[in-house]
Amino acid sequence: MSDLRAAQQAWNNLLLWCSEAGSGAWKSFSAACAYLGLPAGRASRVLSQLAHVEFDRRVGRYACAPTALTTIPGMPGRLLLTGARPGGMLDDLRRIAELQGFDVDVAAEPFHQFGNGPGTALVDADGHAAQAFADAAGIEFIPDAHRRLAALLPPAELGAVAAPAAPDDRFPHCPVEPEGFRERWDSTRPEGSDGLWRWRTWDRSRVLYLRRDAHWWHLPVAEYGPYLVERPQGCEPLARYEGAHRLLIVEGTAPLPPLHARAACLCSGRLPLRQPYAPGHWEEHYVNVDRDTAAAILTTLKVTT
Amino acid sequence: MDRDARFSTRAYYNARLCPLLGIEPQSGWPPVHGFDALVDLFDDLAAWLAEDEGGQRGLLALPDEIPAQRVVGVPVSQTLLRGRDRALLGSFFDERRSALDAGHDPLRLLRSWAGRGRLTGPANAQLDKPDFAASLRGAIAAAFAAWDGSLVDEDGSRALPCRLRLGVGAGRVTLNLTVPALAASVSAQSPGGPVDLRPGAETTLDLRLLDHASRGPVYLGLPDRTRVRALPGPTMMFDVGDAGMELTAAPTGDGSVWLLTCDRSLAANDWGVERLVAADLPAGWRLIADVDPDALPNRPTVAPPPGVAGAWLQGGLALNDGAFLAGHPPAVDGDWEEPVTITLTGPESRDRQIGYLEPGEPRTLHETGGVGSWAIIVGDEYELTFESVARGLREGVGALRHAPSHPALRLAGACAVDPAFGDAGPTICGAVIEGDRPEPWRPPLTVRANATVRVIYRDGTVRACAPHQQPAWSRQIGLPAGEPWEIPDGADAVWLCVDSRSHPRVVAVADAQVVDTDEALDVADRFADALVIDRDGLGAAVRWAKLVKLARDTEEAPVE
Repeated sequence: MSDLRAAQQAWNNLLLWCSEAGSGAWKSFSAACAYLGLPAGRASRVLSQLAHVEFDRRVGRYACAPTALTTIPGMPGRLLLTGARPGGMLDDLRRIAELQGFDVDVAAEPFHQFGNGPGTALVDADGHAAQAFADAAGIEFIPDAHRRLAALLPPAELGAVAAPAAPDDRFPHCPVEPEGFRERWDSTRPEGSDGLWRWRTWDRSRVLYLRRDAHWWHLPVAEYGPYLVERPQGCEPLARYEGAHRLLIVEGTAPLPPLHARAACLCSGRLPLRQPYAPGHWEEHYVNVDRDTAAAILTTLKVTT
Repeated sequence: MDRDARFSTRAYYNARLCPLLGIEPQSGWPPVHGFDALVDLFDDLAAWLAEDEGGQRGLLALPDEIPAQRVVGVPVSQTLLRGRDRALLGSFFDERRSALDAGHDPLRLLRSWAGRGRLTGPANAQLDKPDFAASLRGAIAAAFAAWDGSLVDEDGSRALPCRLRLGVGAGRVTLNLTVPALAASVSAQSPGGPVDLRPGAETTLDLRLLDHASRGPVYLGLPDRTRVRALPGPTMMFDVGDAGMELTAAPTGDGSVWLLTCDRSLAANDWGVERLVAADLPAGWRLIADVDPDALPNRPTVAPPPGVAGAWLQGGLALNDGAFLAGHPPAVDGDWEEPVTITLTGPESRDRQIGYLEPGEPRTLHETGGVGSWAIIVGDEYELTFESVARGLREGVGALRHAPSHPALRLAGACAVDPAFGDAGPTICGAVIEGDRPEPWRPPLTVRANATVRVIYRDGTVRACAPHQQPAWSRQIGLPAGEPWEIPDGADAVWLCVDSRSHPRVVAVADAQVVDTDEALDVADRFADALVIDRDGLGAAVRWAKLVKLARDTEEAPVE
């Protein structure tokens, strides 16, 4: 088995295991990832942004999302299958379509994610049949999930996504550079200066704080950090949209917050493509993102291009 | 027995036995009169204990050969763990603390301890005698329960346990020492001068002590002649603990560790400049943040995982109730020092030996891929059981949700939305969104034709729509071409005229009349002879014929 195929199989098995378990402790998720040779932190982000599994980091739990069919913008004949995908699900869907006479074609195998995430399961179906087919299969049908999710995205504002906090000076901490957002343990920036700070705490290896106007703010969702911090003049925007190619392009060191990333991924069921452009630098290309969804993502993140 | 601060090991009678019995040493030999005659009776005592009493009152451990010291050697051999052994146990307890805390068999752990060779010869011999296993287990467990955490150094002196915390701020590194066993403040002597230690409080060490640590452990001498090993040597590993980043011998969690080192080979690694902490450290020392323990040579590991002593299952895809997902069985591992047999009993209850468990090499149980209960007997001594299942419990699906509009829940990310928070507003779980007010969704009008389609709308407008071009990303993953594509504003479309050279056709998509604009009539005339496809059997052919007739009539009418 090739490395790519083995990696893809590992991701599919991880989703299968999550779906069969339904929910559980982070520790068991981490153990499953270790067994499959996948990094647990990245795996949780991938499964979350593909809308398969939700993670509560505070209490250390995961829970699969309900299985759901959703529409794909610009691909009216195809539906995306998200959420839990227990063993034999695709076969079951195919059997239901046959027995009940739906004009629906369920892909025999999920389409690969280049070994970077669980495969994309697609169902070829006319939109008119989608609701009835979902009802017959006992799964949810959520049309336009990407757009509905985009409409609920929280704005990147301190009061919305950060909480006042006092970090614990006993733990190591260092500034995060505002250009490339790398942690600079070699920095001699004065303690307590404005900007992003990375902290290590007793239960988390990475916690992000923002220092602004002599106040500390804790960012429970660290991905908001780059979009909240004041960046030097002349820096390139962290994200942009190329409408002609339906591409939402995001700077690799400033990944989208989880719900923003999910809204973008639900436009295709695909993970963003990593596009390196210089050593240590890359962009993430979210494919097939429609204009409305991209606008909602960029607007809530206060990105001006 | 062992030497101590006052007496040598050989001061048997005057220094130890007589004070214990409360008598004065007698003149002549032996200093305790009749002791030699007592020792002569040990054979009879041993036989009585073993045979008449069946071991209920204990057993004697008589030496196999007559010891060099015929009288003293026999009673001394009754000591399962001598003073030197008990002192060494501190290191054993320190290394295997987690396994002992988890209730693993202390005798098995001691038998497999790498430092066993440092125990006395008699203690090593006792460890392997099955008759004394229960007594030894009790002795070790009692010693562990009474262990104060102290260690015995290579030179036999006792060291008080301590905690070293690494403090890191921007541009500043501190090493903070706590000695929990201290009862009062003391002034300790270090190679760099006096260090004031206070009970229960941290003392920040002078970083210049690292110069001494580059050559080996740095001790602080206390007034009572005990010591504290403040710095372990040229490489220190810190992991997250209750008080912050604490010195550790092995990482305890999944996360990264920090290295403070002057080891040239370690410091020379390409850790990345951003991970080298900027601080005023002595020459040659580096503090490296976020080191993956797997990247270290001779990766340090913690004790075996909690579970069955001697052998355990690890890995596999375990489900919530302890069963394993079929096709993903666990591996078996143990701490034997030589290969041991593995025997498997499957759902069909046939014992078969499937090979050997090699020391340090977990063995995956590929043979247990099928569904059912399996028993594994390791080394004819330990039995492990597990079940392989095809389906899990699938419990708790949808239990965690995002509530992005709720001011408190929004910060929590995905969580179990507690009704105590009141109305959470719209929630998101995967792709399932509840509580929002979406616009009504209408299925799009689609067509599969691989040709231009001229769409006639209700208001008589006509739009030429080109077929959807398959995007690159969908080609790359192998999605087949020729998928349906959407007709814009399909709700208002009435006729789809497929401009195919080989198979021109008209598809009726709505039972409606169209306004007879010139452009609509032009298209009708152009497709006058095309096949009409009536999707819903709504008399489309008749309606199309009327439209065509109207187009031809209009065309033939004289122009005024």
